[in-house]
Amino acid sequence: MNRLNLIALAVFTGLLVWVFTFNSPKTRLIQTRVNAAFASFKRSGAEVQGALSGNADIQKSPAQLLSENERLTIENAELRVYKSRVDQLQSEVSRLDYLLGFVKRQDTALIPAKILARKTAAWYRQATIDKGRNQGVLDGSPIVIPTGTDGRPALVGRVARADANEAEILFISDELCKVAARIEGSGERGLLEGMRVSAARRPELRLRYLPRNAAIKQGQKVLSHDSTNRFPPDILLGTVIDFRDGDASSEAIVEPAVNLDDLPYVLVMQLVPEETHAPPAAAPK
Amino acid sequence: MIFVLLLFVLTGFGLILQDFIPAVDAVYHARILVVPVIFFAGALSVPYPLMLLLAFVTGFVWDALNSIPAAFPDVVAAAVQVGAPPPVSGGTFGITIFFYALLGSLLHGIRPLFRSGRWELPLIMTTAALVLLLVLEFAQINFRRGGFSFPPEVWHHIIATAMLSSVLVPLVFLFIYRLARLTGYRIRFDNIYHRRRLPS
Repeated sequence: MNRLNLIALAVFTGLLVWVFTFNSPKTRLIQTRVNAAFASFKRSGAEVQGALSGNADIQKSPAQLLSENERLTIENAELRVYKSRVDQLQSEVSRLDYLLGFVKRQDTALIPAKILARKTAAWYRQATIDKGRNQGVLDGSPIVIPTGTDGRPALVGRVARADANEAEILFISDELCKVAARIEGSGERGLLEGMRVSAARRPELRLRYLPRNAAIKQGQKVLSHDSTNRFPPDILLGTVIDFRDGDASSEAIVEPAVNLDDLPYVLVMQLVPEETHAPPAAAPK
Repeated sequence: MIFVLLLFVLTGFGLILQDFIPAVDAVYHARILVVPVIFFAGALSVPYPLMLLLAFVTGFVWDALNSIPAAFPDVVAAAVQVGAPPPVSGGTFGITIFFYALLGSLLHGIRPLFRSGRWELPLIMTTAALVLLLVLEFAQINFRRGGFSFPPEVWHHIIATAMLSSVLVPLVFLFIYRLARLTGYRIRFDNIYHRRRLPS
């Protein structure tokens, strides 16, 4: 190796070490700036990807649009009635909360967002949505969609990084998207995480660190659980399809409540920013 | 000099193009990796110090676009409560720079062949480098997870991605050669002579 190559290697190693020493805020700043530079290409790329993979918006006839509009108008009227009832109940619950001295949960307003593109990296199960910090999306915000006839919110994933007008989301099927979870109807708690590579068409999740010999049956619902006041509780995560008892702890295999392959739109649950978290209030006397 | 600048522009174009290419669900969710292919082809056509610079810039931007930030605070707290090990972030920012420099250095070993206009081995080696890159990335994920597991699906995904991407390799080689000719940059050796056995 000649002298110039050795000098280049030494400079390169120095630069690499410098990059490795970046702290989280600095990394975050770099990511925000680089993503902002590529944002417009990302949007057009998403449209092309959609067209190539057949997920582009389907053109509807005027008659179809008319009937859909009629259905949505009726649904909207019903929802407005429900909303007014919910508002009444909300104020009553707040009053009771105050009387009992409960810790006030986070605000969970919903932000509708469109999935722009599924991520290009080889290993992560990610996507980009068209809403970001400017629209109230924060890091870690849960992404949900209503499921079932009762419209119960089910978890799609979490916001990994919110940029100005876009955000990267991690699907629940990615092993980095961990959620504290509990089994409905029992006190068993664990950590739910995805499996990055799975042969199954519909990804499976693992509810790990459950106690040994836990009484868990197939078909039981898995819900989010939070004792830190940072994540909304009781969001539907999936259904238990298998249970394995281990030496130290047990784990349940969970089928996600949401079909992650068919998601044109999602709802982001708006959280209170970390720095504005109020400490738990003392019970009023 | 113009050639090297254009190589950086080409890498930038690759980063944009990558967003336009969907995954092929039927082939183990594989997708054509444009950026690594451009980097490996570029690494074969420039001297070692410039290859390192290309690795730094490409890896830096790739990580800025793709790496996952630290673990969520509520999960860290929940992990403590259920006795689980604390979750880790997706990866070290900058690790792709290291991977690119490592594989670029390996490819530099066959640069004389590329410069003499022989593409067979560089083509095979570029595909092998793509496989190695994906193996290294997955090994890094395993390392951070704290347990090594390479199920068959991972190998299927890696091989399918490398095979799909390798289709692009000769095209990028050809494009880089054309670019070099246009800008007057000398990739090819003009002073390579093959020894011929003289008739006795």
